[in-house]
Amino acid sequence: MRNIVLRLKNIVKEFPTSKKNKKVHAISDVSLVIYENETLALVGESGCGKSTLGKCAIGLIMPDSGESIFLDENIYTKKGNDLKNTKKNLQIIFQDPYASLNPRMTVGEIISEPIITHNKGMKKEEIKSKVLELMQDVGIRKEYYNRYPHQFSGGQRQRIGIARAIALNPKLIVCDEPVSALDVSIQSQVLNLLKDLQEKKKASYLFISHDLSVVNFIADRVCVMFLGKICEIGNTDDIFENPLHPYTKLLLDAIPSIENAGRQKEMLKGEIPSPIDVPSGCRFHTRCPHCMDICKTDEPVLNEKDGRSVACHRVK
Amino acid sequence: MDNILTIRDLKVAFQVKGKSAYALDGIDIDIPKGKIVGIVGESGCGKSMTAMSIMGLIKKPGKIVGGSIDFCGKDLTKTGVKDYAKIRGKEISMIFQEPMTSLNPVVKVGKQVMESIILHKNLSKDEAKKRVIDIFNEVGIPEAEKRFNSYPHELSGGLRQRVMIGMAMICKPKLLIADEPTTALDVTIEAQILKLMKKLCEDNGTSIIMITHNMGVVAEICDYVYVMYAGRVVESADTKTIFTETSHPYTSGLLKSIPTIGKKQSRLYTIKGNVPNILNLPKGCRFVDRCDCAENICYSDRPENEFISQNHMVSCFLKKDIR
Repeated sequence: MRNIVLRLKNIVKEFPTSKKNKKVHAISDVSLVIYENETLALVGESGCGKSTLGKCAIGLIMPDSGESIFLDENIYTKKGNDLKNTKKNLQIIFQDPYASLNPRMTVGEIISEPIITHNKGMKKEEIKSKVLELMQDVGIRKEYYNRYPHQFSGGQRQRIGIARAIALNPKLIVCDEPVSALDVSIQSQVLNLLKDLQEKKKASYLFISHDLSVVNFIADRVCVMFLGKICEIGNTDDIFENPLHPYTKLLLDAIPSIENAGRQKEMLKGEIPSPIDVPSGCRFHTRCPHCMDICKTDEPVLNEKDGRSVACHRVK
Repeated sequence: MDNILTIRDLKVAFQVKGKSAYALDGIDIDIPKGKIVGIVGESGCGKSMTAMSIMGLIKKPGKIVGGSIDFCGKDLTKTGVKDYAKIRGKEISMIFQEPMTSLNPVVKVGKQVMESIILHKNLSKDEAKKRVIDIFNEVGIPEAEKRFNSYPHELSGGLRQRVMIGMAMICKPKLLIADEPTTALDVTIEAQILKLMKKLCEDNGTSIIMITHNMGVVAEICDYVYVMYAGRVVESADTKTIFTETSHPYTSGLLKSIPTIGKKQSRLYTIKGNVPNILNLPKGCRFVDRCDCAENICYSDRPENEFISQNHMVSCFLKKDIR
């Protein structure tokens, strides 16, 4: 049995709206586990709650209820130094490398900040040599130590963000769309880097992305979300070769691809429903081509079988 | 074949610190009538600059310094501001990447779409409104009459992009330039928008220039493709040829660096290095520092554009099939 790094239990997160009795149901009762040294991808359309879930997992957003269990302890109940020591192991890489680096700090300062915070009393030279080592790991030249973020391209900035995230050797890194702002040639460089670093540092990734071809490359397991719920979760190969949930099927079918160009597609009807007025029964029923009567009234539960879970009335 | 737009040796330069930086350095592009032509390449390769040149929207310190853009017998590089106003929106229109920033947030979407048809077709308000509702139905906006009075923020990204397409198509232009129209959208919505654009192209005989960095999108809807690199066209052909007989190392690098679904790859191919700065370009071929198969000649001489078959152009000294 593989070791579990993080276990999310029944996470619920709702955001208030301007109307008193209406709420945005961002995440509704989601549970999942992330194993040691694996990449779990969270995929889904905008607004399905994947980023919110990623941030809840490491405590950047506090959910309304639920637990995030890291090393047998719920991180939401921790306080003070205990919390600080836990957070050392839970890091994040953000989507936009232009917005996530402080423009008034040099590369050296940006990468050393987490090291200083968590290693009080460490000597300056020691910190600098650690930072230079990290810069080498992510492929930023040492001479750039005193440069500012605006002097770098998008791909290089993302490398700086990665160096900052791995600085403390975390057990889990949430990668929130780390390559979607990059060009394809740069995207492949950064994806290779993330894979190499994982091998070297033995970290787990919670990889949030809407690009399924990227997910297919990097992930060991895939979790498909729709409107704050998990539709399907399983090994990457199984999901891509044999998607069971109708939503997963349609999502895979929608990718514009070189191999299957011009084929007749089954189009997904309409757009994602509002998370304020969530449809009754199965949340996907308004867009599902195989909708039955039961789907409109009863919410399907996530059934697990051989490491593969699907929430659909048609899949038993 | 009839070309609706012919670009020859177009050069756009920016004056930077007394030096001329060529954002476009002699590009040739043909847009046939009723076809979809893709322009692909990385950020900064000149894709959007090409679109801006056609629209006459190059801003200072940038300037068109050479070449011609022939649109239905008119040279757009020599067209004055007043004449351009009659072309833009009526004969050539454009869709931008981010629909939120290209719509006015304080004007109802119906009114925004109406603007161009009132301007170009001299219709009364009632007639114009009817046309707007028709076009909303055509581009697949549900409850078109209700949506006429919506503000942009009340619509989702996909709907906003449909409004943009409606606005661009309302005067039935001969040429539509779409600058990364689906990049900001989810795959499911992307598929819907691509299908819609293809349908509009077929129904109205509109030619489309599709600017994108997504090779999948190209394969899906384009008839011809131009691959650009650092201000030049490095390869062009019909879509099938580009994918089956890839001849430029850059094109092949781009194709190889995309992760493919259904193929187990432990590592992705990468094109080494970064796009060069246009102020400081390599002397010979512009791709030479990133190329896997560069030879001595590539460092010293600039490759010419050469047709290796009827409509397959490559700008490379190694013209053999390198895939």
